Amino acid sequence: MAEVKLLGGLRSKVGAETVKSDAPDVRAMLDVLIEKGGQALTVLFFEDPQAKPPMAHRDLRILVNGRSIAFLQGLETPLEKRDKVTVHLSGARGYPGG
Amino acid sequence: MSIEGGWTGCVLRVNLTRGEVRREALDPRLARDYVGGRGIGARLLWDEVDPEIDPLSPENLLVFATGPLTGTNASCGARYMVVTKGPLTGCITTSNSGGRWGPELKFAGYDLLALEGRSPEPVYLWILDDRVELRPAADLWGKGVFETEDEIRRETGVVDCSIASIGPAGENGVLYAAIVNDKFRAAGRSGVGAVMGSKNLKAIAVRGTGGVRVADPAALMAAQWAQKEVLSKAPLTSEGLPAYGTLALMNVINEHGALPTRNYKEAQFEGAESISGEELAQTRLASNKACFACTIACGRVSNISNEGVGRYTLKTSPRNWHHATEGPEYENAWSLGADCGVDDLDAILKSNLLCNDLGMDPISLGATIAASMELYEAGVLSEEQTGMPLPFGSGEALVAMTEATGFRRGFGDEIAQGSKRLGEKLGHPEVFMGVKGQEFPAYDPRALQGMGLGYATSNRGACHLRAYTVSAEVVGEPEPMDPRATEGKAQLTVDMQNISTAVDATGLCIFLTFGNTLSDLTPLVAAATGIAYTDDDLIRAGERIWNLELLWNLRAGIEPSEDKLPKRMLDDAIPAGPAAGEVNRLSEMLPEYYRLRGWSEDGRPGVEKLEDLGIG
Repeated sequence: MAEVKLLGGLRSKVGAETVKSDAPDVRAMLDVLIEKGGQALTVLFFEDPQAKPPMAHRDLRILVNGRSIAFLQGLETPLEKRDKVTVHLSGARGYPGG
Repeated sequence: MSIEGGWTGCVLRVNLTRGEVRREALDPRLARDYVGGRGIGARLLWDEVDPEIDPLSPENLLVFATGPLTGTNASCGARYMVVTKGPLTGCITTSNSGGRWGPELKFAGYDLLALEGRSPEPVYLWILDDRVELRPAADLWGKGVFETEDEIRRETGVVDCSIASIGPAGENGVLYAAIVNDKFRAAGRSGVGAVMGSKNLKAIAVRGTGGVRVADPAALMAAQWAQKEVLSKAPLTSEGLPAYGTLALMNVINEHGALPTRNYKEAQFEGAESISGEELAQTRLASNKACFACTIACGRVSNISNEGVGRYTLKTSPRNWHHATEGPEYENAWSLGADCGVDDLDAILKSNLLCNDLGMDPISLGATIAASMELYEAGVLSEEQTGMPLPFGSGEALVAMTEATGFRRGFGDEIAQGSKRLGEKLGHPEVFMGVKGQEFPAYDPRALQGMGLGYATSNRGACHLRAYTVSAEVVGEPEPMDPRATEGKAQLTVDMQNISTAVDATGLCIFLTFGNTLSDLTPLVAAATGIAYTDDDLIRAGERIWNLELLWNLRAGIEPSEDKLPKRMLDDAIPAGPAAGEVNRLSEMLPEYYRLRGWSEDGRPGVEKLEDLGIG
């Protein structure tokens, strides 16, 4: 099963630091986290949870084996058993300079 | 043209050789074109200091410069900039600090404080509004920052004054000595504290009872409410930074495989979790803390655990505190932690505490200890030379070497020179991980291509604050950019350098740009000064300052050939982790960077460019 590591405030929201998941892709992995942490997570994970298919929230950052899914296949990025997934919320705005 | 607000219009000058104090009017056109802080300070150096001087000679000028928003109610308007010739690099250096010192200088009626010459005896400067005097400091010489501040408060009887001082490191000429204010805020980099020490100036205590006059108070109120609303809604500035500080980055950067480990030999640290923001918040955080007028409050007030107190006792017994300290920020936790292979948060807290009290830059200190550890493990340095085992991962060695360096005792005398000089002296220049004599901060430029360009072209030596490409390459703002790609990084670097320089000139903290855009900040500057600045005006001011700093460096003999990275970054691929196999491809970015800057192919601004920017 893929190992999902949660960072920052997401740990208390999900109630775990790491979660094991056999979800086939990133979108399904997020469903696993919602199942564990509650429906309140949907507004953190998706821009419009009702949309079909939902878009990832602008603050959501997901890495698969250290690579942002922005440069893979987004929420459709497939997951393998040995994959290491990192999930955190960024929430930066502006034009950071430091 | 006259000054309507924002600036006080007064420059305070102190000649330490003669003990003279005088006041000069700030040129309004200079203020308009260079804005303040880093900009006006750089212009003073350009006009008055021969770039070829010895930075530790009386001929060097030490400038403390605020901006037009310092001391206003704009969020994060707490900053002042120390501008001087840096002894670590030989470059013009501009080192920034928050806390309360900058606002107090403004309240006392001064935009800038320029210190010339060298006092024949140790002194401190006492500023209480119009009252400015040099006082004997022989009794303070040798004391740490904490005790110095307490003594000066007792002596002046003004308990709420703000004090910027040096510790033993600055007195002893440690080349990366810092100037520390309010005990835990520091103008840390490039050795500004050594310059202050060379002038026999122990401290500057200031209390102002005035305010900051602004040109359009109603417009400033409206602009600052709008600014603060944005900060209160951006998750990072309203939740992330208050909860975890910048130390939130430890796990994030490690997960990207961009966390330099054991002197940049690796890029992932197995102990990252135990020195992370999450770990600090769970086990040792007492509170967060804000600088003057800041609505983010990213500062950390932390406790060293009881176990740690027992393990890391010192020879200098007054420094064996059991109570709360501050920090660490991400950069410090990285340099004292991952870069030295140390995964003990107590050791990092203790070393960081010593850096504040002894007055040292933890980035350059940690990086130089890391270089020493590499040489020790390679058998180049023996235990006889270092005085104790110095392997990667030793918290005991980290704390002991921090203390030894501040006092330049034993092997600490070698570490005090920085890793470039240390490596060259021992015949191993390859252990220096930095640019222009200054050590890298906490992002591996092999994993983040843009950071490599930012480091190489930084005017003050390696620095992350000049062009924080991490925002695009890791955080994904303003839009995600592939960290492994070089395309677009030259433009990103130029844009960020200009904007960051402009923010530095205003007196605001660069961290607010994790929430605010420049468009949120421009109305603040315009309202305070009464000058109808646009975003483009401020970006152009940033470009003007950047070019002036570069010109000064060229005159100091810092050639564009120094816009380079160490061989390890260019030739030695990251051995493992997400960015395994990567090297930095600087040569793909640097020519485009020079072109976008409007400079020659070999990195020099031409007459036409300088005339366009109004640099005489």
